Amino acid sequence: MDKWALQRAFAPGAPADEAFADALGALLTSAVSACPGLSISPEAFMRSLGARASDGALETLHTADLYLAFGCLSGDPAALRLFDERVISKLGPALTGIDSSAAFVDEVCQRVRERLLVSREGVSSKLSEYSGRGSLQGWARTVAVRLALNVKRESPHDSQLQTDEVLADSPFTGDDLELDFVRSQHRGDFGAAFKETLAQLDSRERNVLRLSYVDRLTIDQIGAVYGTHRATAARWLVTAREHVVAGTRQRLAQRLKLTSSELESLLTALQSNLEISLARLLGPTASTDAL
Amino acid sequence: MTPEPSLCPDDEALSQFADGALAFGLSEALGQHTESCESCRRTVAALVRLRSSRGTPDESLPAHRTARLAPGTELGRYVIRRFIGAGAMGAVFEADDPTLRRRVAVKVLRGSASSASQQRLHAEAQAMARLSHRNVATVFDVGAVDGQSWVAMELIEGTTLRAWWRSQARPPPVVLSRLIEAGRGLAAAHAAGLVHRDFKPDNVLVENDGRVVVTDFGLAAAEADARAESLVGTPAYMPLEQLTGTADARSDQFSFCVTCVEALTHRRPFEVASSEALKPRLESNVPDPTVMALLPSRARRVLSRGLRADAAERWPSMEALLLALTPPRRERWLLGAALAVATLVLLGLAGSAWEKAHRCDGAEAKLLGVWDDGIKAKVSGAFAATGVSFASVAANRLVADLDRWASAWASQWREACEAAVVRHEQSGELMDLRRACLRERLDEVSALKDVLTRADARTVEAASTISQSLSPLDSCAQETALRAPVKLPTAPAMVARVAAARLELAQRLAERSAGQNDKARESMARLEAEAKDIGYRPLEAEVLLLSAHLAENNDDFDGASALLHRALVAAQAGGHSMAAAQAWAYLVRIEGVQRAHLVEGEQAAELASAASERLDKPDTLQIALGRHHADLLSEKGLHEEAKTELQLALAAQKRSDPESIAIAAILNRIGVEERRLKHLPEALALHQEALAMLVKQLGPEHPDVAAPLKNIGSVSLARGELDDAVRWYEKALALELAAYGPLSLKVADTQTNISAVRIRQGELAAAEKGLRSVISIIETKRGADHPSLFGDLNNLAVVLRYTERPEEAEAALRRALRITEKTHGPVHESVATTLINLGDVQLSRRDFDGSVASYERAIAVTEKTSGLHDADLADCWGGLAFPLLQQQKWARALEATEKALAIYAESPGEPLAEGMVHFAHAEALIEVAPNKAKVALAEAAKARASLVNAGAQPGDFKEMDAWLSRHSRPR
Repeated sequence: MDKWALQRAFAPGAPADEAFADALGALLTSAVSACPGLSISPEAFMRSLGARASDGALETLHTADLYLAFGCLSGDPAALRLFDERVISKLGPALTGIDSSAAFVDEVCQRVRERLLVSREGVSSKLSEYSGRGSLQGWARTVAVRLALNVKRESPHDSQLQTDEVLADSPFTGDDLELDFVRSQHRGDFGAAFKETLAQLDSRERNVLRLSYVDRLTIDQIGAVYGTHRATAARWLVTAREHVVAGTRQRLAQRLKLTSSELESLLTALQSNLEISLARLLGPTASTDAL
Repeated sequence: MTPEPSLCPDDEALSQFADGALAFGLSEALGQHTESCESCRRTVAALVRLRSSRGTPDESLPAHRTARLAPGTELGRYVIRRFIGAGAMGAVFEADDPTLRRRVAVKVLRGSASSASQQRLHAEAQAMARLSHRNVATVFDVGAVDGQSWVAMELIEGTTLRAWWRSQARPPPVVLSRLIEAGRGLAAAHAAGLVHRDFKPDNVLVENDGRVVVTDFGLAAAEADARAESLVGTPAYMPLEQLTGTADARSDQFSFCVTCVEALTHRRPFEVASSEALKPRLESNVPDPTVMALLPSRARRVLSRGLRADAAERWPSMEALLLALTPPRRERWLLGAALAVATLVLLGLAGSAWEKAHRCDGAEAKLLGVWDDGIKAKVSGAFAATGVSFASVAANRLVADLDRWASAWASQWREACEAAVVRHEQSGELMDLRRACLRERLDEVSALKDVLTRADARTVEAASTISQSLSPLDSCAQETALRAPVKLPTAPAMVARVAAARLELAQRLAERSAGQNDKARESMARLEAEAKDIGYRPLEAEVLLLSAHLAENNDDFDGASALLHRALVAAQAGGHSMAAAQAWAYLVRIEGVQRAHLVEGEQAAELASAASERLDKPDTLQIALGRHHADLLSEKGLHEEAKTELQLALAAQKRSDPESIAIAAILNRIGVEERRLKHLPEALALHQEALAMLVKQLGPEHPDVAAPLKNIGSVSLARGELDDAVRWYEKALALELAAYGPLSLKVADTQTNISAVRIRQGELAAAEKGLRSVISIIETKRGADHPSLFGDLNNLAVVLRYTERPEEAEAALRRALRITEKTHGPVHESVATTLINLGDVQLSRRDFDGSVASYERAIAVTEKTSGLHDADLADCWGGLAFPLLQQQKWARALEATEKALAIYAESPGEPLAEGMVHFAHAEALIEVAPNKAKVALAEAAKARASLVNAGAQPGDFKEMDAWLSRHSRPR
């Protein structure tokens, strides 16, 4: 393959640049060796690559993945086979975390295939949006996880995602009879104070609590979501919890006019069960009014 | 409380996030988005859980297996924030150093780290950590994780040198200055005993603020250790000794030179196919000459030495190389130093001196109402209102020019006072003379500002030269010039009329400087009459000088000449030495160049020089004279002499105003002489420098930019790069057409050039059309015998000859010969050129005797004008061979071709000419020495092949092929 022809296809009208043309040649060679057996015109691939790489450094693109995607979009049978083998069949582990049944995994895989490869009603297939900035497998996995969560939501029997209306009850279950009395007396007040407090948090604190108690992420993972250091994420989480406790205490004190010792014992009970409460209160439906 | 819902990130961004490759700022935004979007929050949470459970970096397709560390991963004391990029050596991440609260770059090397390579890396890193230099990336720390080595270093925000030079075209001096900085980094490392081993454009980073940093010292070696490979570095940049396993500072020097060549030419000096293929190339020690030819001459000399195969023959050190590569210091530096000393002395003076010094203040107040902020705003507004595309650039430039003029004026005003009152170096009388002179200059600018605030499109076009057209300030500081006796009018009535006429003259001058020539010309006749009527001769001389300029602007050269002679008479009669000197200098141009009266031009130059000497050679006068005289010398074919004149003018210009745009004009003009002297790289560098300067100061659409564009085209043409030449010419033509319209001489000039290239491209119809249009423009504007017709007539003859109209061609050539002999006499390169063409046409008319005579005369002339070793002479000898072949005078034809080829061997000619002569040589040889038929046929076949892309005509090939097939048959 003439390297100059590659450069012309990649960047029509640009002045000849030997090092660059060499780089394109090397890139094509490595893409072909990564995905052997595809019948694709190198120029056509370079043209599509040129259109994508115009704004970014070529070095950081996943060019072999782009080559495979380009093959799939051109309907190349070898490319489609490779795609199933290397991408679709590797989605399992990502999906079993959401639902481990084989039927669920199969259904989602089939939907991913349709979504990525089939164009419908004039809308081109989603694979044409793949830009090569990340790996093709990772990108497909993201699509799959989104689809899986949607499939899950369509199903009515998913208790995990159901609202728990009695979430505010949890701090009030226990063996202490005396406390039980107080708690039963003030159940409504406590629930209201707790909800109010949550609604008054700033959106990041609320989100950090949700990521921790509902999505069960560790502080490392929360840090990753925000692209911040784990220590920072930990500090955010601690502060959010303190705000919840302090706010609930203040609101309860105003409502109930309890003696401080009564309040303390109530709050001790509250704190020990706080995590359960938070998990429930911050769950999907309950949170909608807070947003 | 609730933040604005943001757009959901696309799946691509999410998958990059999942790969840990999402840029830091974006990741933060993603976190914020999940606060208000439940669907994305759940997806992100699922992905982030997945990532943690996978534990290992993503398994991508095999071609791109690069370790990606997730944000938050800890390496030593560093915490990974984001992935920056991947290279051959491994992946680079941005990371936090929480201890020192700074951002760093962490490079994780590919391959597993053996303990030996770990040790080596540690040793290198420690050495690097001791090195602190502006042009070297600082290394902080080094370590290993999961068998992979990593290095923590300074985080550089910028791009690689390669990406930098690809991002936009930059003039060679700018590229060179970056390279020199990188070289300093290398030199500093060498001084610390370190060798890079893999210096290349991708290991040099250019920071956003322009700082240049060399990275990855010694990493190549550590990497190779890890992969158990002996070869370290990147073959295309490596010297021979490194290919065989040893590398020292001089190997880095070699890599540096390869990088320089590539940065300056975008091509590498050695082929890159593989390290094996590279070896013979390096051993034979020949960098690709076509690549090296693209370099500026100094760089070529210096880099060639650094690229020697034998390390001992290279520069002794990077410092020595850099010293040779660095352009010489500018004079301005010296001035700066002198100024600093003067300031110190003044500060040492006591308070009374300060008081004294302030007695001379007040210059700025005089500028109010003449050139102040309000007026500047008005001028800018008037420019903008013209709607010319480059109006705002032109306005800024003009304001800057006049600002400099104003500050020079103010300092002269102050200096005139201080010299008399503070330093007592000059008399009070001289101070008054100086201030009277300065007042006149101020009146000029005052008149100019009135014109500028009513600017039209012509004014905007002329803006770049307006400040140059002001009378020079320096002559107000020169005692000789001031005392040059211009008697003042005495009678009171006369004084008033002279003052009024002077004011009007200043207005006309201002109009002319502002490009409003027609307007200025309208009232000149009346002003001339008024000046004459007043009977004050110095004024009359000044008025006539202006009239002459206006006549030239109108392409009326005869009129200009007559006016200048009248101006001279008036100046002499009125004792106005300055006006006389100006008139003589100007006559050099009008007589010598515009009217092609070379002898008169030369006489004017002598008289101008004498007049200037009498005034102590003011810079402005010397510059004008130097430029005009150079035009004349060049017209006479004396290019070295013309170049010398121009270089003197350049020095004077830099002395008088180092910021002036006139510097670009002179550089451009020197480039033309360099091209005519066949110093092509020098010519190109000068034109590029001029172009960069003009574009920077005037913007890319200004018609003045056309000149260097055109000249770069001519350099391309001289190199045989025809398509490039046309491209440059057409850029210039577009600017000129937009500014001057289709019938101007400038447009004709450019069309001449394009036509010449069209001929070589074989586009004869297009060439003929262009040439006929040019000839008619010149005949109308300059007359039917004007020397500038010479080139176009010759070119037209070539077209006519190739389109089978030899009679018309001969007529055109005889006309060209007549014009050029009348202008230049019988011995001149133009005469020779015409004779060569004439000989060729006579050949095609089968007038072989005439053809031989023409060529023999051409040889005699060329031997005198160009010397015995010039390719032009080879062309003449080669041409002579063709009629001789037709006359079957084989031995003489053989002799002629051998003379031609001997000269070509020394100084290569054009591929077309050389190819044709080779073929002719073969034809003669086979007849003179039939036993050498094989050699002759091989030469002929090779010559024919070389002509395919050289511009030969189909008819030529037909004859050659016929000859070849006739002689290829076995006898």
